[in-house]
Amino acid sequence: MFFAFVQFIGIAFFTSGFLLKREVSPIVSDIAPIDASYDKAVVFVIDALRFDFTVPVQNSSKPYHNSLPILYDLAQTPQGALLKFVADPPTTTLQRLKGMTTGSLPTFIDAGSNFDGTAIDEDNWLLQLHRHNRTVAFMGDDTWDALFSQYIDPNLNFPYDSLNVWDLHTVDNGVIDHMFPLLDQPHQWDVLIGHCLGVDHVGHRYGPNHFTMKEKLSQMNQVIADIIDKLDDRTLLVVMGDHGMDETGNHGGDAPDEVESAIFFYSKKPLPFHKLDSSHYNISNAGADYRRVNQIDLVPTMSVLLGLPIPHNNLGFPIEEAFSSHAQWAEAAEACARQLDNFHRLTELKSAPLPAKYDANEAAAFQHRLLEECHRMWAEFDLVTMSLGILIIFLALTFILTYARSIPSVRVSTMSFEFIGSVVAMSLLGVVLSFSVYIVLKPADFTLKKCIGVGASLGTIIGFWAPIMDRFSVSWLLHQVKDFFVYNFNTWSFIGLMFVVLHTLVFASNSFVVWEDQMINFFVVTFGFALAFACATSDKLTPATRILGLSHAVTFTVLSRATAAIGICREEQRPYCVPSFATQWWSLVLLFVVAWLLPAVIMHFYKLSDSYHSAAPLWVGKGLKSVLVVNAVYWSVEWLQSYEPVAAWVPFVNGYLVKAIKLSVARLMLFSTLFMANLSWSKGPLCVKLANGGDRQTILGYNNVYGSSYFLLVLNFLAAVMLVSKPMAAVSLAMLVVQILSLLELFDMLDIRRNVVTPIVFTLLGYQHFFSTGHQATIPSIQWEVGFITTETIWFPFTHLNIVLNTFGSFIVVALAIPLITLWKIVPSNKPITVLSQVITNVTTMITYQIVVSLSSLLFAAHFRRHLMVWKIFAPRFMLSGMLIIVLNVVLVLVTLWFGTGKVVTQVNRIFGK
Amino acid sequence: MVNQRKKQVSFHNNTPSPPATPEPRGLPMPTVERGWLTIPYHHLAVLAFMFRQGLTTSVQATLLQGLFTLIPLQLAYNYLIVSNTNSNTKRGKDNDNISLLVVGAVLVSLALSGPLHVCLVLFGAPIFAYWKETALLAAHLALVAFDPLLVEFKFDFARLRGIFGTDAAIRTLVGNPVVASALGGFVGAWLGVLPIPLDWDRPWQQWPITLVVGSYLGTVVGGLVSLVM
Repeated sequence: MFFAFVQFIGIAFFTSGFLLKREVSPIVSDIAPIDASYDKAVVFVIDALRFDFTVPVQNSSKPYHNSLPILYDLAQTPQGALLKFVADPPTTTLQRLKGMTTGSLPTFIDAGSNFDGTAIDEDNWLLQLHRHNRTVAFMGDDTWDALFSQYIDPNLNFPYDSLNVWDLHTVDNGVIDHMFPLLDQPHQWDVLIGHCLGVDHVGHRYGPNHFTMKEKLSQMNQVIADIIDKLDDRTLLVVMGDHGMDETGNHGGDAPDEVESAIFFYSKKPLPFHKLDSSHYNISNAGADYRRVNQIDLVPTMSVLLGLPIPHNNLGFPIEEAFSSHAQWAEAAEACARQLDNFHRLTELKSAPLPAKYDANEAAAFQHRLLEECHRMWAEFDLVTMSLGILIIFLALTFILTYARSIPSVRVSTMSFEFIGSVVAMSLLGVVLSFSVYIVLKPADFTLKKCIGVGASLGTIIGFWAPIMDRFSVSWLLHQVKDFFVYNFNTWSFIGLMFVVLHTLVFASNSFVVWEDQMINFFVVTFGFALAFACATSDKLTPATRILGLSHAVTFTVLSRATAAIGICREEQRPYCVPSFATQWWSLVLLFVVAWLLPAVIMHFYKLSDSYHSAAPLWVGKGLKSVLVVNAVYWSVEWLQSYEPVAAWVPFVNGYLVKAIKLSVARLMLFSTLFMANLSWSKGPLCVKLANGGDRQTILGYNNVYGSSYFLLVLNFLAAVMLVSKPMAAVSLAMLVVQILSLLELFDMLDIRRNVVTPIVFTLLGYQHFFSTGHQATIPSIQWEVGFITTETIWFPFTHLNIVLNTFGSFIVVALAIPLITLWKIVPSNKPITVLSQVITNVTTMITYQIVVSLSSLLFAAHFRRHLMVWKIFAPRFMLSGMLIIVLNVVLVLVTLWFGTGKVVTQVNRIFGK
Repeated sequence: MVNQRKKQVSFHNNTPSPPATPEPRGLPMPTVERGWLTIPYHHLAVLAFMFRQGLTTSVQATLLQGLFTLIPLQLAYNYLIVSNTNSNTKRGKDNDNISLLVVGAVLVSLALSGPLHVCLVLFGAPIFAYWKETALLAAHLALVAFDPLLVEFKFDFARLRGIFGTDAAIRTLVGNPVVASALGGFVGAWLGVLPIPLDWDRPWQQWPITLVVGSYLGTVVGGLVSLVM
């Protein structure tokens, strides 16, 4: 538990050095503005409005094409202008709103705070409106409320929960309900902002290629038409998207589909817009060559048009089309150049300054230089903190290696108490020392928090080493390592270590990180072949066990290959990857097949050791089966709700009743699997039976008394994870269980359960099913929508629990199954401490593997910090590594060791102990 | 395909040192005379020939052409193996029908390329797309790796398994250049997978060129390693 703590500190250090922070300048601009062109403005944001949704696409039957024609049609008249609107990554709504109001470049660190957007204190055009006594009315996505509530008129502020992505209509209907009455009373407001989320939510829930997307876009089309009806001559209408979406409907990265959105200006004034030559507005090829402007360019444009000072931190440049003439634009450009020059001087930037005399083109060139420099500048890393993080994790690694492999495992358990004492003492000492160092020396760029973190982790590590050094010497430990390689090293250990080394090297190249899923699949199948080969040639097996072993190995290999066929593709894998994760009718059929087949297969495995008695039929035959059937029904209803013919003909399926039933069923199921089932498991169910064999009694299932009981705990968590997984993911998890059971049988048959390869392969299975349950090491692939299976709005901790179970489900299952390597098919031991210490060895080996992989991903993320793909490939992978260390430590220590193994060993020895 | 390696014995301090030449019980390993002759140098030639024929531009046609070039060379190679092998069994060398053995090994390995194809798919090769390329790869791999094994062991599968199944199998296997070369072919094919994901966009990264190259080079390297050791 203490090393978990050390690792967390290490990760925290690295993260704080790696994820960039931008110094936000609090200066508010008060340069005298130019005269306003418009009195009022209506800003209508359609979340995730990708550019190609708005232009005509010939011969396309996609539901998202040609469904929102109004923008392009009006842009052909003098009253409207439509442009491609390119966002800076990260393409998440919070960052985009900051960008399009301040004109600056919000960095990645903010992406994590999307769940609690904090108020903005940077200069922005809402602040300027507020300072100039203009009234801002707002309705829609509550991210605006979180950022700007102090600038919005409290009587005209109508925020709606933005993160419930399964709800397609509440936000949009709220916007419509509040917007039109206000449009009828223009004296109440000066700027009216509406932000609709329906298009984004359709994308998250169903992907763009779904009939509801057509409905949603048509609805937006009508809303825009209605707004235009109510506009007067002195009001500017701006319709825009904040980002796009990829072909799965997600966003967050920097792919063209994610950053390309649309912006549309409309006014009823005579000749309001100065458009460029028509060749700039080329809509062929879904508008690939259409004229593009930056999202931050909106900031100076809005400010000048409304007669406001341009916000101090702005890096954008006025959009030419939004002004009525070239001269007017040049005037705006000049004002913008003054603001940029001011910013340039106050932040002491290095790029060439604005020339003393300049025209609009020179001003534009200046803005371009400035933007480039800021892009580079806000990618500064704190190398000292990063190195500290790496060092701390490295120390944790050396310790855990010693703990896992060098010290005899029996000694480990007897030393536990010494450890606790010395660790607590030394870490307290470390904290006190570091505190005094901080007070006395006042190190230059070190905060108190950092000092104490270093002190505590170093103290903990020293606390660990002290009792070890007390008993053993360094040379003895090194001798142990040598012994391992000389005497215990066989082909299996070689295979295991080779997997670890190759997995570590994956992070040395962006291509391998991108294709990590395939590498893992390749390793797992290789191990399957090694098992089959060992079964076929081993001279220690009888012909009957050889056949059985071969069939297990073939099952394992075939299932591994089948698992490899499920998954989503990350963008970099295209065009070489075919996604196979979307829910189809046959995936639901598979779900029902799984509900019937999985309990039967588990029963078969239990019968191999004659353990299908007492608790087993109850858990597997009744419990698991009914949970799986309910799960299949739940996801079928979910699919029917989104299936066009059904949704069109039976409106009932989307009604309140079905919704309420779904919600309560999901809650009940999750509660019973996670809480009730574990509670009853803690009472110690055994899968044995007394049989009368004539004159003496035999205990059936005695040979697998630990394993058969412990496996039921794995099933509890498996069922919970399956409930929050999409249908194809549940199929993959079912295969995981069979893979695990086949491995356990084979480990027993080939007598390799004490080999180092066993926990390594389990960890590999965790990775394999991480990918096959529809995940990738990218931000957009997080399945946020499953958070809302059991809650309608974000409700800590339930929504978060769902997302964690969904994302790390496969790792949770394998981490729970680790003790089975030791416990499966052994008779009650009269030395329970030996059993326990073998389990601890396997658990620590798994943690070691994970730390090695994480350390490598940290090192290479740090090494490639200037790499073109760092934010896209290396940074998300390192975040996954960090999260995995936390999740695995928590699960392994609390559930696997303390709850699971502790309980089952105590229970068995209470009954069978001698 | 690391799976060809087998468990090694683990010695304890108190056990006497192992005999200098391990003798698998009852099933002696065939031995090879003039080992330097049995290294498949012709694989390098076939590989060079395929690249010169434009392996990277028309994969299927060139692989097929290479296969037809390989078959006669492999027949000659088989004869070379037979004439240099001392099979160490009671049956004398003279009792065997050499031409049947040489031709039969090629035909049987071509037939074994079917199951090998299934194995390749299990390892992750696509099932439908590129199936012709995969089939050709399986045929090449079977010829360079299975064929010499079949000749060396004279279709004596029980003996083959017996040798793989013993302790210290690795030592025995690597001692024989023909067997080591076949194993090298599999290891080479396994390693040949690794360069595929790199985003270098080179023509030789096409499926299955890296595996073909890996297995051809692997056989030569395997043979040389055996000679050195």
